[in-house]
Amino acid sequence: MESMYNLRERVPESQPFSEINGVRQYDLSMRKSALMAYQKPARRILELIKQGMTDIVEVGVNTGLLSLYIGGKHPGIAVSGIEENRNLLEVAEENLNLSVWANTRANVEFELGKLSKLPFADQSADIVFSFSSLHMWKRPVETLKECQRICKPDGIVIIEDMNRLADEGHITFVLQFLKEGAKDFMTALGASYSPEDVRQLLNEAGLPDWHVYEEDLGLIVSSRSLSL
Amino acid sequence: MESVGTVKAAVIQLECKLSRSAGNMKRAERYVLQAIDEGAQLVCLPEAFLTSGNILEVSDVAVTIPGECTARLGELALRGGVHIVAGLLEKDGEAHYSTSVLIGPTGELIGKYRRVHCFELEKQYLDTGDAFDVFDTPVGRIGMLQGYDLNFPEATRELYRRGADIIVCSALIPEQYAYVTRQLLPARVIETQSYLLFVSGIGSNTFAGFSYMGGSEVLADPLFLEQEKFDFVDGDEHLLVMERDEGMRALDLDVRRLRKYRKERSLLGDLEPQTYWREPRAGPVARLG
Repeated sequence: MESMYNLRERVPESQPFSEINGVRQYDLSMRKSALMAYQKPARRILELIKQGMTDIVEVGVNTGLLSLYIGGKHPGIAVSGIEENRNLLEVAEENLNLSVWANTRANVEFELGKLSKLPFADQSADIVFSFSSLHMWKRPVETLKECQRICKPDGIVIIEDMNRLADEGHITFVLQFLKEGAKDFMTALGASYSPEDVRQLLNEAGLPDWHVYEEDLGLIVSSRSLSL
Repeated sequence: MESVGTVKAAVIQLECKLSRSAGNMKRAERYVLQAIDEGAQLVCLPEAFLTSGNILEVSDVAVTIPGECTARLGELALRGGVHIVAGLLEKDGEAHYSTSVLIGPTGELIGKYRRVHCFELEKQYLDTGDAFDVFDTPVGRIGMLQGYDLNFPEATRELYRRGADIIVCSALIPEQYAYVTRQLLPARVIETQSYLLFVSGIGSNTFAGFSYMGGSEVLADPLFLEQEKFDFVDGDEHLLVMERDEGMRALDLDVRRLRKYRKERSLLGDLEPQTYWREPRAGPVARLG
């Protein structure tokens, strides 16, 4: 069948979020009208949290919303987010500062760092998660290896992003709610991976046993099997 | 005084974030461990590294010394067998100080320095210290200062008189004073014939709308280096200069040679203490014309 959207080939974004005001606009639009997108990944992570866990890491924090949410629900757990885009990190810091000012008890920390060289010790995190960031990773194979390295043996890595080859009905559904953001959304979608792409990345990273799931517009990669 | 050779010192230019003590501590720990991995023997953190310069809330955020934070620093020091200098906002009963602690390689608190100089606004929140102690350690005789003290040659002079080899100035200085601070550093190190570690924090003060300058430096007396290095050129007294990013850098300080130089070229014998800090003499005013 002829495709409505030209998404067959992956087109990486050359300089995503290269302008701070664009990032603020993106963040605002997410907070004002797209929090729904965070609901499912948030619930999945919360369900994975068990008694005695101490450390959660987010790889690519975007503007920080998901870490702030998880950290707020579990103030006893340290949530550390690493982002390599300075503009995204700056807005994430703004959000975190507001959250701290508003007396959140969360133990959340964001930092600038290379996603291909995460500043955490081996086997130090109970949960390593990522949301809407994979398509921007500069060295995805190395970052996947890093996720594996820092995750505790009984921990879990869960990575969610858009599926470039998602059912076009889902894409059309989302587009109807987007106005100014439609172009950016399609650019990001075009830079996203397909399930097959991700399986290849996992093979290159030496992680062929990890699981890849499709859900609506999303793609979920997990080091353990999930009951979706 | 103990015999000391070459000492590897590490400067941690930390982003000190307001109301984010747990995160500041976590990043500080990581850099301390990194410094230990690189073989550092003396590891230094900025002023008020745990709380940033949150003097408005000092009664809420300041910590006791010793206390939980120094205990954690002690564990790190013990783990790496290193000395640690770190700045903390300190609570002692009703009083509050901006304090630097020196922790030894068995984790013990060797000593502390409560900042003597506070500017007018700070004095509404902070009390002032009253001593410039120095501490003999296997890595040299250590003196501690904090950022604002750099404006007062009296402070470094006191440490010089007490024979400090290494002066660790833990700082958190607003960016608007960066230029002046960079001018003061070479002067202070020349006056003291020492190594000066300016360990400066970065980050924003979200209450007051300014950023901290970063720009950590390690300097040595250029006259000492000139004697030591055949290829010394002016400016080489800056052994290390950091920019505006968070990070850790380590370098070697030859304390043994510095002591030898200072013994030969000491300024102490030329001091004229009886002429300093006297009341202006009353006398006839010179008439001109």
